[in-house]
Amino acid sequence: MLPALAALSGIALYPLLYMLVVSFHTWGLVPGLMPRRFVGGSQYLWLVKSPDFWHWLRITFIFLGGALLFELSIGLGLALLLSPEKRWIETARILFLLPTTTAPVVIGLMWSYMLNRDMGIVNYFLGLINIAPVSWLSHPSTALLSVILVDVWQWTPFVMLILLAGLKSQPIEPLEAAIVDGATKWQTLKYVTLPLLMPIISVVIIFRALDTFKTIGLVYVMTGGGPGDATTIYGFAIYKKAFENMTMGVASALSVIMILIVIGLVFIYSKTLQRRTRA
Amino acid sequence: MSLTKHGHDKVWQIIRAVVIIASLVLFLFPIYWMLVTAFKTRAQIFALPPTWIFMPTFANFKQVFLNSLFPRYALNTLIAASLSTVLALSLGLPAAYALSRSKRGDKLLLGVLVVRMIPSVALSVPLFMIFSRLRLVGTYAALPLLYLSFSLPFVIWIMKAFIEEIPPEIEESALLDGCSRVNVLFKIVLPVIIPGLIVSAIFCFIWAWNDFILALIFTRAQTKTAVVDLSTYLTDQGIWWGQVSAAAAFIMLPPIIATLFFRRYLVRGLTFGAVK
Repeated sequence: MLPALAALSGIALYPLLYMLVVSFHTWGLVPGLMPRRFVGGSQYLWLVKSPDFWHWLRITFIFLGGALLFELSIGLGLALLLSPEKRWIETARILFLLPTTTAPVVIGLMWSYMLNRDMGIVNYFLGLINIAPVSWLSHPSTALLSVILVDVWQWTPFVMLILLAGLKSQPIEPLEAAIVDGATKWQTLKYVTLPLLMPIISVVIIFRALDTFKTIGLVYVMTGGGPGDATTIYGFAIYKKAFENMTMGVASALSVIMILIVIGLVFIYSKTLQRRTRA
Repeated sequence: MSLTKHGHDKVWQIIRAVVIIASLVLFLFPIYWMLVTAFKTRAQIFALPPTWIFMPTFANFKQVFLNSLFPRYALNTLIAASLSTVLALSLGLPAAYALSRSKRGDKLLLGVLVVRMIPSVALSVPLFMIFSRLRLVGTYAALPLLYLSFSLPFVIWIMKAFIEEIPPEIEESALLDGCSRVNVLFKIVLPVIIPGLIVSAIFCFIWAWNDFILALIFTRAQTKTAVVDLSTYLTDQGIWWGQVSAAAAFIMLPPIIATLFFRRYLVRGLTFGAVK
């Protein structure tokens, strides 16, 4: 018990406290190049006033919203499609999981190749239906769209899996009651299945929201945050500020804010879980 | 009446099958495309319209595995992933056991959970400063220690749930019969929770294997992992897509093996925490 706690404290608690302290300084990684000075809360003030900060939040929000929209709808559709308990459908479910277990870097490269303007297969298929080739990763709006697309591709199977597990664990009585009352398939779906699925959907949203802060590898490989900073989601901004700009103070402050958001989300998550076990 | 209903059901079954197979093809196409590209020549890769049927070549694999440093990096990844899994399991199992038998277990668990949810980037900022001072950057020990930040909470979380399935009476009667606590852990608890151990081990290994950002920041030339090496192919003079595909195919292998052969454990681990 003790070694584990020691390890966790060492690897998490102590660094977090350290980071809190650093966030109140301007802190260059290399002492010679940038002075380390205590600036207190003004670092946070400066952040909140800078347009970049809000831009990163906005991009992250768009990314999360766009991804969730598709992941939930496609995921639900797939879950319903794959719900029968037959051998071959179970195999299909497993095959669908392959994108989720592959390394994000590999996926980023895979898709960079496919979205390449000249030799990518996506533009080839678009050409077959007479759409002009698109420079997916070089225009700000299509770049963000591409990153969202790839995230949807990678994580929809995961969402499907969780929704499926949720569907399977639903009590059968409400469904039977609905059928007895003469409800159509659509009505059953809308008024019985979906409301019962709400807690699971909230869990999915929270999980994906937390994961958004970790989607750095993908962005790094596909767009490097660009073009410009069109795809610089929050987590990537932290990476850039820390390891490319070497401004540890700013990066720490950003991280502290992010962790507060994370704690908020985990809190909501545990409340949702409590509500479920009580119901 | 029943005949038409049966016929009606059959039609839906066929439609369902068609939609599933079509979606599967669509979803898995990128993976297929990447694997196939690994066996193409440079000319075939750049060809427009794309080459669908061709004679496979092993040149890319030869280049990546015989003529470059990639095997070294692959070995580094293996070392990092294995070490981190062993470390997480050996620290996590006793902790999970202690937590499940203690009264303050649930509160501590929440704290553990929060740590797990913290994105690696956030931790990497202070950890990089700390590790630099401790001269740990670029060593083989760095990554396993770092991966503990998410693998240890995960192991504790999962193993605690598995351990809680065992009624304490069994342990108490064993203790009454004169077994030491350690013996109880090994002889009674362990055999029952082996599925949990497998789930934890698979996930620890795959996360460590696939990790990019921590490996990027904390490894140097000697200890670089395969995934980091792959990202460097992107900035070279013209990307060698054939070799990228060959390297990527290799990197995809352990997760694919885990997905196909350890499916039940994978599903259990992925849905854990979402559905009880």
